[in-house]
Amino acid sequence: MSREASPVSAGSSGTATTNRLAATAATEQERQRRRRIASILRNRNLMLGAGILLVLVVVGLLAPHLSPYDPINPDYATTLLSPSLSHPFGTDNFGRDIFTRVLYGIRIDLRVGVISVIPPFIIGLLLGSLAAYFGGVADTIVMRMVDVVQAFPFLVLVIAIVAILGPGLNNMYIAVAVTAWIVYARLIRGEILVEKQKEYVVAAQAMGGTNRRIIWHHLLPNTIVSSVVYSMADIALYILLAAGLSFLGLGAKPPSPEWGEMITEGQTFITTAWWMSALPGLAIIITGIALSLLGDGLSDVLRPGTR
Amino acid sequence: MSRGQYILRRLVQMIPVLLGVTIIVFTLVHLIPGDPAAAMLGDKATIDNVARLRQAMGLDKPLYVQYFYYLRNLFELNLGTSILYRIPVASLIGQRMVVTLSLVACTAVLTTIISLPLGILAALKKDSLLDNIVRSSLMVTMVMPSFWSGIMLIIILSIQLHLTPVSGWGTNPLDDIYHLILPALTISLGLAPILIRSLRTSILEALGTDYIKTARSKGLQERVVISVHVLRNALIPPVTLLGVSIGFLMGGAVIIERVFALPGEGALLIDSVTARDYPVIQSATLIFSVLVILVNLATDILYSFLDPRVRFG
Repeated sequence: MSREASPVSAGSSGTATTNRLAATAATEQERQRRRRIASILRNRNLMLGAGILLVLVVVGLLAPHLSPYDPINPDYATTLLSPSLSHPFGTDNFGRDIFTRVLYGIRIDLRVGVISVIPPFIIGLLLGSLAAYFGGVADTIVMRMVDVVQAFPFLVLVIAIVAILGPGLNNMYIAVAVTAWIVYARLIRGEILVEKQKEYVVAAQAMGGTNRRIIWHHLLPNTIVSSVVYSMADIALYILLAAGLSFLGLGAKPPSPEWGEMITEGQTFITTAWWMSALPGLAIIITGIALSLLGDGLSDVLRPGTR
Repeated sequence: MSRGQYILRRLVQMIPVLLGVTIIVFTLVHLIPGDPAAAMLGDKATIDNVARLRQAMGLDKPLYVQYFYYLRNLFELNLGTSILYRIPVASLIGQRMVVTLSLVACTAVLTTIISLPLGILAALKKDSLLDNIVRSSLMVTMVMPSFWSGIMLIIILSIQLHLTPVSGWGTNPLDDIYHLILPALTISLGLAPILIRSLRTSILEALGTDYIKTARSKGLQERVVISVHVLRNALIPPVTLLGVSIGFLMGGAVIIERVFALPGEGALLIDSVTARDYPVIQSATLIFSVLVILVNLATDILYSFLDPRVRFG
C-alpha cells in the first residue's frame, strides 16, 4: 500500500506542480500570443494593406450585386460618357460602365497575381534549400541555372516563352514558374546557409535526424519568412506583368475586363475619352500599394528588429 | 590580383553563362507545340513544304547536332532568315538596335538629370516636405504599369499641352531625340525614385563619416564639402544600381516601344511573336540577354575604377 501510496502522492503533488507549471506556461504563452496580436493590430501598414485587400476581395466577389450594369455586353446608347454620378468612371466605346468592369477585373487580376506567385515560390524554395543544405554539386548546378536565367531581362524571357506556348494568362503562369523561381531560390539559399551553421541544426544532425526532417522541420520554418514577405510584393509584380502582357496582346483578350486590357482599349481613345485608360490604371496602383503595405507590415511583425 | 586579371576572370566567367543562354534560346524553338516547321509555315504547311523546311532547319538531325549547328551559325553571325520580312535576321536586328539603344541611353541621361539634384536635396533637407514626397513617391511608381504612365504622359504633355510628339520615330537625329523625350521620361518615372532613394541613403551615410567632419573642421566651404567629399563617395552605389537597372530597362523597352510606336528591338520582338516569326523571336531574345550580360560586365569594371577598395579576389 505504502508503495502504492507514495507514488500516488508523489504523482499527485507532481501533477499539481506540473499543473502549476503548465498553468504559468499557458498564461505566459497566452501573454505572448496577446502581445503578438497587439503588435499586429498596432502595425499601421499591415492593417491598412490587409484592410484595402479585404475590401477589394469582398467588392470583387459581390460585384454582380453592387452594380446594375453588365461588364461584357455592349450598350450602344451610352458610349463614351464622361464620369458622372450614374457612371463614376464613365463608359467605354461599347457603352459599358467602366466602374463595373473595374470591379469585375478584381476577380481576374488579383487571382492572376496570387496564382502566379505559387509555382515559383515552391520551385525556388525546393531548389534553394537543396542547394544550400547539400552544397557541392547540387549548389553549383542550381546557382549556374540561376545565373543563366538571370541573364535575360525578365519580361523578354516571359514574352519569348509565351510566344512559343501561345498567348493567354495560363501560359503566363508557366513562363513565370520557369523564370521567377530564381528570386526565391537565392533568398532561401542565403538564409539556410546562415541557419544551418546554428547549434540546433548541428544538434539535430548529431541526433541522427534525416536530411528531409531537418530541412522540413527545422530549417524551412526558420527561414521561410523573408520569402513570404517578398511574395507579397511579387503578387503586385505579376499583376503588372499580366497587365503588360495584355497590353502587348499576349495576355487577356477583349472583352475580358482585365485591367491591363481595359487600359489598352482606352489607348485608341486618348484624345476623346481619357477616363478609359486612366481609371483602370488607378485600380492597379491601389492594389499594388495595398500589397506593398501588407508586405512591409508582415516584415515588421514577423521579423522584428530587421528594419 | 591586378585589375587586368580581374577583368579577364570576369570575361572567363561569362562563357558558361553565355553557353547556358544559347541553350535556353535554342530550346525555345523545340518547345513549340507540335512540329516547329509546320507551325512556322502556318497556312503554307503542305507535307512537301514542311519536309523541306525541316531539312533546311536541320530538324531531322539529333538534338545535340542541331545545337552544334546553331552555335556554329552564331559564331558566323548567321541568325537565320526572318520568315516575315524575308531578310537576314542579323541585319533586321541591327537596324532596330539603334532605336532601342538610343532609348536606353536617353533614359539613362534623363534619369540621372532627375535623380541627382532630387537625391542630393532630399538628403540635405532630410525630413522636409520634399524629402517625404520623394520617398513616398517610390511606393506609387513601383506599382505603376509603365504603359499606363506612358499613356497618361501622352494625354497630359502631348494632347493637352502640345509639348512633345504623341508617338513615332524622327526623320533626323535631332528629331529622333525629340521623339525619345516622352518614352525616356516614362521609364525614368519608374527608375528615378529607386535611384533617388539609393542616393539619399548613401549621402546621409557619407555625411556621418569622420572625413566629412575633418573636411568641415578644416573650414572648407559647405559647397566644396558636398561636391568634392560627399558626392564622390556617395555616387558609387547609385552608379552600380543604374548599371543593374539597365537590364530592367531593356525589358521595359519592349512595352514602352509599343506605347510610343518606336521601331525598336522590343517592337520587333512583339511583331514577330504575332507573326510567329520564330527565328526573329529566338535572336531578339538572345540579343537582349547578351546586352544584359555585357552591361553587367561593364558595371563591374566601372565599379572597380570608382571604388579603389574593391578587392579583386
